[in-house]
Parts: sequence; structure tokens; C-alpha cells
Amino acid sequence: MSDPHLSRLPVVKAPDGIWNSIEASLRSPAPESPRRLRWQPWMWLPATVLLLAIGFWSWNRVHRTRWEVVRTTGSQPARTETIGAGDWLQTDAHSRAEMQIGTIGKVEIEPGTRLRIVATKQNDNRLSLEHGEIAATISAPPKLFFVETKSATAVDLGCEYKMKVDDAGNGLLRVTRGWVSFDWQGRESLVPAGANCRTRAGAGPGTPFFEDAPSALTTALDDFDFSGHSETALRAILAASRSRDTLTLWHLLSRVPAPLRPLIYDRMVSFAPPPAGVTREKVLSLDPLTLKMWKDELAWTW
Amino acid sequence: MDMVIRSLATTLLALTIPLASAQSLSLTIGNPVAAGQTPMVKSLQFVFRVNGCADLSKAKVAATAEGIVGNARRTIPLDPRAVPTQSGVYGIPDQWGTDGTWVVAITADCLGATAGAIVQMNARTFVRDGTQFFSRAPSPAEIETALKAYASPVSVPR
Repeated sequence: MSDPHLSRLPVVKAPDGIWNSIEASLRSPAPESPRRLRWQPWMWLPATVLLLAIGFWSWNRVHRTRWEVVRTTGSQPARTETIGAGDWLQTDAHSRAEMQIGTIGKVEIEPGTRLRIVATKQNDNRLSLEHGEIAATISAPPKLFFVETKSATAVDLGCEYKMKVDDAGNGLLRVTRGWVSFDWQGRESLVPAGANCRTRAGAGPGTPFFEDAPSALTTALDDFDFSGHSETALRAILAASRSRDTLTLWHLLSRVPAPLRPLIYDRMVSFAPPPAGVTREKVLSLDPLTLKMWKDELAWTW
Repeated sequence: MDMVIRSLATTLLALTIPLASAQSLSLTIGNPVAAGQTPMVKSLQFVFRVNGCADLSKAKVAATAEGIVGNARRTIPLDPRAVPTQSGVYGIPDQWGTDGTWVVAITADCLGATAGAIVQMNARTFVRDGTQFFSRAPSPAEIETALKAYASPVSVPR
């Protein structure tokens, strides 16, 4: 009692009623307090999903970037701009452009080209080439860079290539380094460095062939791919083929009717015996593992 | 007697098998695409495969680029890169530039056996028809002969 005013106050006994009411309240059960929300183990699941969704959204937003484009027209100074998904890029007869594909490579755009940027994501960098010519140099793991045309999609498998198409979607792919997969509606042509592959509207990618292949082979291949898969054309291809043209013959195995497959197989083994594990029976039945094993071995001669 | 003959035969077989496999050591040279669909393919001039090595973990490979630039003779030790997707396959990156005339000398050793090759190079890749294979390391004289033949005006056009 340090306060002098308090020390002067008289001490009064509490009325009995107060004590009675305190005792009564102690005897009666405590009122139900609202239940506290306890952390349950199952709650981790929605929390984790929520956090992941937020993380993915943020990551995707950050990585959906714009690409830098440098345009040049004749002797005029270069002009730099950025371009993003949904944008179109067009060069006229006198201009060209160079576009950086994020950090994975670049695309040179030749005069008279029109293309659209479809996606600029970390795991999906995609162009749609309407017409014209591009040269792509990509340094990235496979299947991160795609160029769509009306008749085929070029899937980068670690490569450098040039591609040219007209308005209808007819064109040519020329690979200078690495591999490109040229796809359309489940049909795939694997094109290694030094090889070309044509594509036609309505037919998709043709059969790849080496740039130095005999003209008799490439002419017959054009007939075979885009004029009805005739046996005459196939026989002309086989007759003109060299050891290195097993690239073409390997693709043809799965593109001819079953009765014609032995013709191709026999021509292929005339250049070099198949490796252990690759049997005639399995090849003719188009066993996927066997065909891959043979292609991997043949690639040493390409 | 049978026992003795059987033991001798077993010993002979045990000695012959490693010898036979060692004798079959060889190299295959290929375009980088033979290494499969891996980004490292792009940076390689060519790839080579060591065949007939019973234990590839014991294989040792070495390579040098041997060239003539101007009038100067050059030797550059190379660092063959193991291709991660295929065991026993190595890539040779371009470590010598585009000037001059070059061959690449390769030696592979495995469990006491040796194989070698001299690979002729052009500006972009190897010349398949200009590749020589050996069942030993290529000698300095063979390298000089190959290089001089390649550098001479009557050799394969570049």
C-alpha cells in the first residue's frame, strides 16, 4: 500500500451474496468454449497443392518471356525490338531479322518470311512458320524448341537447321548439325546432320535423304513419298541407294506394305550385316526396339 | 590322366579368352549423330567407339590433333569426351580451329590390347575415306605420312 490515498480507505467486509454467487458459479459446469481449430495431418495435402499452384503460376509468369529481335534492312542501322507469344514477325524482300530464343539459341529470319510466336515458355519455345525461310541454331536439351508449319513440325533434338516453306505448307528441312524430328499426325522422320527432308501439304514429312544422295534416288523418293508409294519408285530407290542411304531405307521399312519390306531389308543387309539381336523376322514385323537398335548402329555409317 | 587333360584345357581356355577378346579391340569412327540425340553432339567434330573391350571401365583413350598451319607443324593434345548415353563412345570436339591441314591421331587401350586410328579432317567434319585404322597406336612416322599426304595438292580436295 504505497499509495497514501488507498491507505486512508476503510476496510469493508464483502457482502455474503458475492461469495454465494462465486461458489455457485464454481459448482456449475463451465460454459462450452468454441472448439479450437487443430492442425490435422490430412491438411498438408490441400496446403501443398495450393503452394505448388502458386509457385507454378509465379514461375510460369516469370518465365513467359519476350524475345529480342534485331531487324536489318539493306544498309540501314539495325533496329532492336522485343516480341512475345501471339506476335507476328514479318520480313520483306529487302529485310532480315535475328531473334534470340531466350537463352537456348537463335533464329535467323530470311527476307520474305512471315512467322508467329506461339509460346515463349521455359519448356516450350514455339514458332509457327507461315512462309519463308529460317535458320535455327539451338543449344538446349531435346524437345524444347519447335517450329510448326502447315504440313509438319520440326522438333529440335539438339541441332542447327534451315527450313523453307511456301504458303501452302510445302517445304524443305536441311539439318547441318545434330538431329531434328520432323513430325505430322503421328508420322515421324528423324533427320540427322547432312540430311534433308521434304514436306508437302496434305501428306506431311517425306522420307529423309542425305544431301549427297544420287539424284536418281531423290527423284524416285519424291515420287514415292508424294505420288502414291508406288513399287516402281521403291525399286528405283533401292537400285540407286548407297551404304549411307540406309538412312532413307530404314525409314522406308515402316512406310511400305508388308510384302515389300523384304526388298528393303535385303538391300540394307547387302551393305552391312545387321548387329547382333537384329533379326530379319523382327525387322519385318517392325519390332520398335529392334528397329531402334538397328538405326543406332547404322548411324555410325551416316 | 583325364583330370590332367581337363585342367590343361581349362587353363588354356582361360588364357585364350582374354587374349582373343584383347586381339579384337578396334575403333569405329562416326558422324556425331551416331552419339544419339544429346546436345553435346553439336559441339563435336566426330565420335569414336571402342569395340571389343571386355571391361570398358578399364579402357583408356587418348587423342592428339596433328596439323600444318602455314609452314608450322602443330600438335595439340585433345580431351576425348565420354558420351554419357553410350558406354565406350567418345566425342572429339573442335580444339584446333579451321586454319591449316589436320588429322586426329587416336589410341585406345583396354586390358593390355591397343587400337589406333588416324582420322583426316576437313573444315567441318572427318573424312571417312581418309581414315586409317591400326591394331596398335599409330606411329609418329605414320602420322607424318598421313598429314603430308593430306596436305599435298594431289590429296583429297578440301
